[in-house]
Amino acid sequence: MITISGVSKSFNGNLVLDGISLHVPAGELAVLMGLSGTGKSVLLQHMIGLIAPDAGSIRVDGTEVIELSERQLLLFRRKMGYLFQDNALYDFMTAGENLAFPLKEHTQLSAADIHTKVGRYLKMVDMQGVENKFPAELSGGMRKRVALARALIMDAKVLLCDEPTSGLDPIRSRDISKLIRDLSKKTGCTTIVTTHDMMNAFRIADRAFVLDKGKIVAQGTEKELKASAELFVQEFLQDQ
Amino acid sequence: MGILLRYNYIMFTVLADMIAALGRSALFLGDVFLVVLRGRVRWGEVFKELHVQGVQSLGIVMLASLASGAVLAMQGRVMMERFGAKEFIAQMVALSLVRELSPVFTALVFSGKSGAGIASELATMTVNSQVQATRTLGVDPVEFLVVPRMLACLIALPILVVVSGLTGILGGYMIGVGEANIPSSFYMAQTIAAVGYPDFFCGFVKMFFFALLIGWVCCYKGFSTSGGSLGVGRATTQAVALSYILVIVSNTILTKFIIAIGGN
Ligand SMILES: Nc1ncnc2c1ncn2[C@@H]1O[C@H](COP(=O)(O)OP(=O)(O)OP(=O)(O)O)[C@@H](O)[C@H]1O
Ligand SMILES: [Mg+2]
Repeated sequence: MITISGVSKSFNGNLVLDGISLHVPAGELAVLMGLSGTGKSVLLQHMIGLIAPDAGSIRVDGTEVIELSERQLLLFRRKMGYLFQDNALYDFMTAGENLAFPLKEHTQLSAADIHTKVGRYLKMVDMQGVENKFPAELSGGMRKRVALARALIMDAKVLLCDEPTSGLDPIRSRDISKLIRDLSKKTGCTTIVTTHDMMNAFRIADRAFVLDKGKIVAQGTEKELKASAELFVQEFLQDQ
Repeated sequence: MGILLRYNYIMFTVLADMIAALGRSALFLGDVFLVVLRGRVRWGEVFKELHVQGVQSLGIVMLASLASGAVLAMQGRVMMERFGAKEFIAQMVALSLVRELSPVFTALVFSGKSGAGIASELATMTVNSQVQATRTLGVDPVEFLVVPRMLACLIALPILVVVSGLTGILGGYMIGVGEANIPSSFYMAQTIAAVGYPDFFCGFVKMFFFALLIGWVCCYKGFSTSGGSLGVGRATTQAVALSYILVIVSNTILTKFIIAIGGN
């Protein structure tokens, strides 16, 4: 479903991704782990065409992302859901309008149908009744949930979540992680989650990748990672 | 020698940065034109923006124009009376306003209110990833966020300039009729007779350019922000300062040009 090979990217001579290759099969949930500033967000943004790589190939659902024009990218992204590290809800729209926005843009649904669907997705993330609240009136965890619902509302085939648990208390973190797992399995969408929150990562992941100094230094299940000989991986896992 | 080299190097990098920024902002304007040419203008958004921008600047434009019309008439009266030409106050006030003061004054006020608003809104959306989020939702952020704001500038500023001209003339009238004892009907007739087609043309060309420059600078600065809330503040002040400079400099060039092609 998602196949990345040999992707490199540097910003102003600073090499952030150094020949990354990874594969996530359809319907799986993969977690991308790594210290702060190792390029997890940068890698995730490559997958949805927000950043173009210097070299390499990125195939998502059979499409070579780097060959798409800006117009084609807009079309391609309709089947992708992206949860930003800072939620990125429109602050001039209510929660309900935020969810309705992609539906109004890309579907022929009637106002009534949109309203119903928005209600259904808010319920799915346990946020019923906040339709008329602005993001500023919601807590961080609530905004996360609303943003997650917005990412999924176009029936996304691929869901990319950037640090969905950062800035949340341990209980909320666990709830959000579990919610992402449940929604991912329920809708069958291929999901990649970036995090430095090891506990939750292993709780939800089918497989995990560890990113360090621009490279994938280890990958596999929890067991496989714990058995990894890579020094960084051992240090990383121990500190959690 | 070393210092000189270093100085040259700094000058060179500053110049290179400026040219690069100019290139990027030109491409940005190109994107805006493409959206308009493709007919992908969201008029609903334009009207929402128009309402915000118009309301933001209307009160202060009227106040400033009323005051400057009145001041023009007061000063005009002093000067004109020295030459025994008191009856020309009306012409002087009307011509100064229509040709020069209303477009420039309004553009400056508009930069400070609506331009700052545009820049800070877009900058906030940029640093909060709302612009990127628009892309991930399959919508072109230039089409959704920028074009409506720029078009609203192009519509709002001319309306404000007309309002400014009228309130300015009212300010002059209050002084001319109320204080200098010029008969009301005479003052009105003089005003109407004074302003001709070339004067409107002069004001119109100016305000069109100013609107384009302010919209362009404020949208581009907001859109190319980085660096959190500090960046938002920086982008906003830079946008307003640059708008001021561009309005003042382009006004000089435009005035020269308009007079040269016979708009006198
Ligand atoms: N647009 C950009 N321009 C220049 N440098 C960038 C850009 N985006 C990211 N970087 C750099 O790339 C590196 C990786 O950033 P990234 O945000 O991907 O880290 P991260 O792994 O997501 O960290 P965190 O866990 O803190 O979110 C950083 O050093 C950052 O400075
Ligand atoms: Mg990140």
